[in-house]
Amino acid sequence: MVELGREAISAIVISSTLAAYVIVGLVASRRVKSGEDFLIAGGKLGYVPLFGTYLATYFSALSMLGWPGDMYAFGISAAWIGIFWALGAALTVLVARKYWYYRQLITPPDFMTARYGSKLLELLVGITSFIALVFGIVTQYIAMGIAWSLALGRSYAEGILITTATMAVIIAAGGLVSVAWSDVLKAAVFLIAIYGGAAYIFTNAANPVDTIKRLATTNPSFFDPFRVYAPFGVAMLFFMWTLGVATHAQYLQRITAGRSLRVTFFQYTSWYFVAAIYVTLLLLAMTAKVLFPTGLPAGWSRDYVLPALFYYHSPPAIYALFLAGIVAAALSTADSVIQLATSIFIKNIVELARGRPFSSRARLNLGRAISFALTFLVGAAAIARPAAITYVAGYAWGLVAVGYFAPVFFGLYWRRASKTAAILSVLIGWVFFIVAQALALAGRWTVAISPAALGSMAAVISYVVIALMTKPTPPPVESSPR
Amino acid sequence: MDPASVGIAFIIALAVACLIPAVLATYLWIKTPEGETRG
Repeated sequence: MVELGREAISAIVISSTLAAYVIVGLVASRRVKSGEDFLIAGGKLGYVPLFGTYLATYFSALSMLGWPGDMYAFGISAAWIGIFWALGAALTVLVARKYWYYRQLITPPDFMTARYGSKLLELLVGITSFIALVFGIVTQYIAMGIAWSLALGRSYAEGILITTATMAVIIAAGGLVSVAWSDVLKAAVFLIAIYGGAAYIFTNAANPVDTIKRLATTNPSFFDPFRVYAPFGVAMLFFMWTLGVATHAQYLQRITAGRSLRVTFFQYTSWYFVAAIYVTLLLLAMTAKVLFPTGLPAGWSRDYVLPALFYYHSPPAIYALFLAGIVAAALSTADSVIQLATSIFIKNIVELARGRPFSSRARLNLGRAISFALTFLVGAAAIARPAAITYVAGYAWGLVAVGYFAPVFFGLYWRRASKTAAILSVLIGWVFFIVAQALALAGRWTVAISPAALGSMAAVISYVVIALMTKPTPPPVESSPR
Repeated sequence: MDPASVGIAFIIALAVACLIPAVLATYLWIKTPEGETRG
């Protein structure tokens, strides 16, 4: 038998998964007949695609690289963030319960006009979410390029080009329908990569029970829950991450994409899998701490602690599978965001500026052209990596977190919800966030609260105060339960 | 508490937090009638 080298195995694993995503995306695109199919899957996604696309979009390369890197460096205190993400998802379920009655909406910013009758707010939220989504996604592209070069020993730019082309074909072919169905496969790939890889490491390299015992004696500070954040800092994670996840545009979009309310609720049962993934990732970070107690081998940065663990402690096929898992996690978040940004661009920027909607056919053609161009444009930015990208990406999560939570959550759950409160809270939240973030990027923000958490808190507080002082805006009649 | 127990308690807390959305969604999924469709 011919012995395959490490790179050859990686090439086979990663190329075949990429090819499979394209095939699934193209097959699924045959169902796409209208602009609404492209933008929101016609609101007809069933159990399998909605579950798969929610899980795959939620779980990004950040969870496989940066987060384990932080846990490796700072111990379990870095794991707090996972708890706040989960609480955010619990809030998303509650949001879905009410947001479902706005199921005729095509994009998340549409909610602002539907609930508050404010085209101004729709445009504001539309423009900022478009910019924030596009800039924020560059990091996922970068992860794909790096995973490619780690796996194959080939260039970073080549990795970006190939993954970008994969994505462009999938999105342009069938919009949300193709994204959702190919996401099912991507989710399967990263689940197998994480569970399978961990099973190998735990049985062959280090048993988790021994790992915990060893770490407790050799490195007790690993278990200090407040090593990174003081208790106050932990509480502040709520504003940034719980509120940021709860009403993120990509989840609001997936509420209205479901075929029925039951299907919409069902997507969040993917958290049974996420629970297992998070515990596994924490145990893997602990294992890495035991196996690389004084730091990673030369050439591996902290973010790549798990790839390093698999590189040195598992056979090439498992290492290749894990890198394919990283590509799957990054690709599935990136394609969803590009598809969403395209929808927002057409619906909430161009159509709003034009004063009337395009025909269904024109929406489909525009969606294809814009998503195709956008995918490559972001790819080019990821290759060039200009300093401005890092700068604007710093604002990405915060702008989306601040722009949606108060107007959406209070708009759904509070009788006193008002248009003035919605508009002003978003503006006030942004001002707080942007000023703090500018100071942070200049290295002059020393307060123990992140700029996005501050903006999010300012938006929530100002919404409540202003809503109590202004006339409530009644919800539209069609939003009441049928 | 010894560090190992804190570690195990933290792992359990992380798992329980992640199960909140899963269990809540399962409950609402079962409780919701089939008829709530888009139309």
